Amino acid sequence: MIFRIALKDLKLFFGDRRAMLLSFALPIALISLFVFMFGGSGPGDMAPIDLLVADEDKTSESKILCDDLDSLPSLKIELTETAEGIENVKSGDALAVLIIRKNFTALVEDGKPGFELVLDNTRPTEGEMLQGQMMMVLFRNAGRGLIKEKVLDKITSDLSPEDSVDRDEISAFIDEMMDEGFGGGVETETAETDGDEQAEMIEVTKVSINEEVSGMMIQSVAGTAVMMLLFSVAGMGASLLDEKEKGTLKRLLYTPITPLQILFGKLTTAVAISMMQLLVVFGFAQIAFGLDLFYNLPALLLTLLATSFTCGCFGIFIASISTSRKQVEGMSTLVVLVMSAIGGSMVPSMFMPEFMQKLGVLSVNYWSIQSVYDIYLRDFSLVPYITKVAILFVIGVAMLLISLPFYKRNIVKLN
Amino acid sequence: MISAQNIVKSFGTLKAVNGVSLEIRQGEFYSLLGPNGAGKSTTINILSSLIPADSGKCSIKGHSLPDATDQAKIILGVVPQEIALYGDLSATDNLMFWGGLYKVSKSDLAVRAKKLLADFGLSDRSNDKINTYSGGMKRRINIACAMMHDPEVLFMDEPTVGIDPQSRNNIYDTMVRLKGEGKTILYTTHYMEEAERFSDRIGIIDNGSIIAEGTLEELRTKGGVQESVGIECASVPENLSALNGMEYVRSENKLSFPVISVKSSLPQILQKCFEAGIDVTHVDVARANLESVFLALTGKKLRD
Repeated sequence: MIFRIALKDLKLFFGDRRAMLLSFALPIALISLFVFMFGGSGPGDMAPIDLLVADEDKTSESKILCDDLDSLPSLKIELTETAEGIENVKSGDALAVLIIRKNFTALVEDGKPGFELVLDNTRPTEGEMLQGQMMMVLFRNAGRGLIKEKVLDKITSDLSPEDSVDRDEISAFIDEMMDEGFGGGVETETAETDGDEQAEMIEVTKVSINEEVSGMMIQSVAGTAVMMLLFSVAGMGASLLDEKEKGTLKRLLYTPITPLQILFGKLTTAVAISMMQLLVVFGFAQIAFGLDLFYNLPALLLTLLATSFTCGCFGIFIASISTSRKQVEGMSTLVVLVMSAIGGSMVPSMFMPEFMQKLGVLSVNYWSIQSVYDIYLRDFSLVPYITKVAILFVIGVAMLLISLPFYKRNIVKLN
Repeated sequence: MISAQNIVKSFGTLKAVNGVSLEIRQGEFYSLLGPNGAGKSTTINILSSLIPADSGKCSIKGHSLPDATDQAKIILGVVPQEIALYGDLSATDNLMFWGGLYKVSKSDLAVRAKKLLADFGLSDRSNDKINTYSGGMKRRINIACAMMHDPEVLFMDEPTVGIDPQSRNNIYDTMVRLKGEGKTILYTTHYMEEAERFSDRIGIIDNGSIIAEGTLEELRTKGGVQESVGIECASVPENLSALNGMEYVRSENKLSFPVISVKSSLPQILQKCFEAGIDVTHVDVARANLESVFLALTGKKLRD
């Protein structure tokens, strides 16, 4: 009897070939994804950090500094103008812009900041890593005179007037020592500079309009909410298949309602429930973590609507390309986890290889999280914000359009 | 009212409907009788615009299909073979939902739902979820949902499959009521007694084709199926000259008369028996039913 039951269930399992393949493909795909994501194929796989550099000094020294920064494999330098660079950081298009101030070496030697680093505060971990990577280069190029002066002053002040000392000779010796000390090996080291000296040399401006919330908190709330929503809407989309199995879809088609109206009815339900879920999540975040729901309510509502719409379209898409609930479950688990991983719902995308970061822009999660960042943590600017929301809608519409032929073939067509 | 001319529909290599033609008049109760897989449901699905025919023409109240599908659907109510209801909604909610898909006002829907629940004997369960209903109760609501917009034409695809006698009787009462209201009904079934009981005309469908059509009497004639009248008496007289010209078989105290139609022959037989001085003690009739008609026409039993 036990064998009979097992045999029957195995027959059912192997009967739905697509669902069966998914159940095997799912773990393989996810293992591959996480190995790629977390650098299983070597430490060099982590993508270099993008850094905009605005050179206001425009001297040979600043040129050398830029080349020096560019030589670091962990950084990817792009030259820009100051205003443009700051704008890019504010809009979330760039992590940071390093402004090399005019006469930066002289400023540093005078104990004033020769550099300004304008940093997107929504990406604090990346910001910390960036500062660590570039500090040694900055110090080597600009802080050298300052250190030499301090060392020279210290040596000469310790000597008595009778001691015959040639300051130039000591200076040359210090140069030699510093060249040896700073030469090579800076690729992965963090700068071991005195905090005060660093503070003197570089002024860090964190672009964030809201000091009460952190990027990590936004990442956690928005990222998790979108990921869970995607799972939820996949189930809602599957109700199309349920209706087909139970015969209610066929009955609907007997009535004056059209197949497209049924589809949009389902989409409306998914959007409405998604919107409610997101409002509950953000409401909870307000109560539990102090995330102000009313900080920029119209923009937040628009983001939540765009996210709900796109997630709803995703649910329709998954249901349309499947022919059974089992397939929906396998497919949605795979797609949602991949989208959430590359889109930044699980971990910051900086930990991933460059190509995976680029793939992230194809995910709902990425644009949704970025638009919430815009609202809470960036200097809110309408055009970049609306662009992100528009991209969310475009992704949704694209999924819907792709779904249509599948919907007609797999759902509406009755045998 | 309902017209189909030589409609053909194939699924792959299977020809589900193969040249079906029928004309159903306004107010007529037309039953399509045939075994499972004969093409009844496919015919209904084509006539209700659910699937297109590969060839042939059809129309509902002059609305040609599939060109005037929207107009046809408005006057049409379809009771599907499966119980197509939302189990987590109450009976009232289901009725309101299905009725709401037609252009009926909310107040009219509420009145209609209340009436139908009463007609189907489910008023006391109106707010219970469908999932808590018995199979027969679900069947009743399944029919009621198709009647919410008071359609002129009703397609009922085996609406009484697998139900208890109480629900069956309730549904039969509904049929009588619908006939009385002058609804045009296309009814598919493989229960002969239902077809015999309600139909103005019956179409016998087999292997995707209508092989015979007409009233029950006409079908009997077409099938050449004989009926018989049995006369039992205290004693059979020697002289039976009064029965001359009539075909009968004599056995002890019983006379058996094979006839084409009991209905038309019985008065004459009784009259002749009285004239022959036969002391009739018992009369039994053996009527040809649809089963025997079907057997005669197709060479197989309906439930094969």
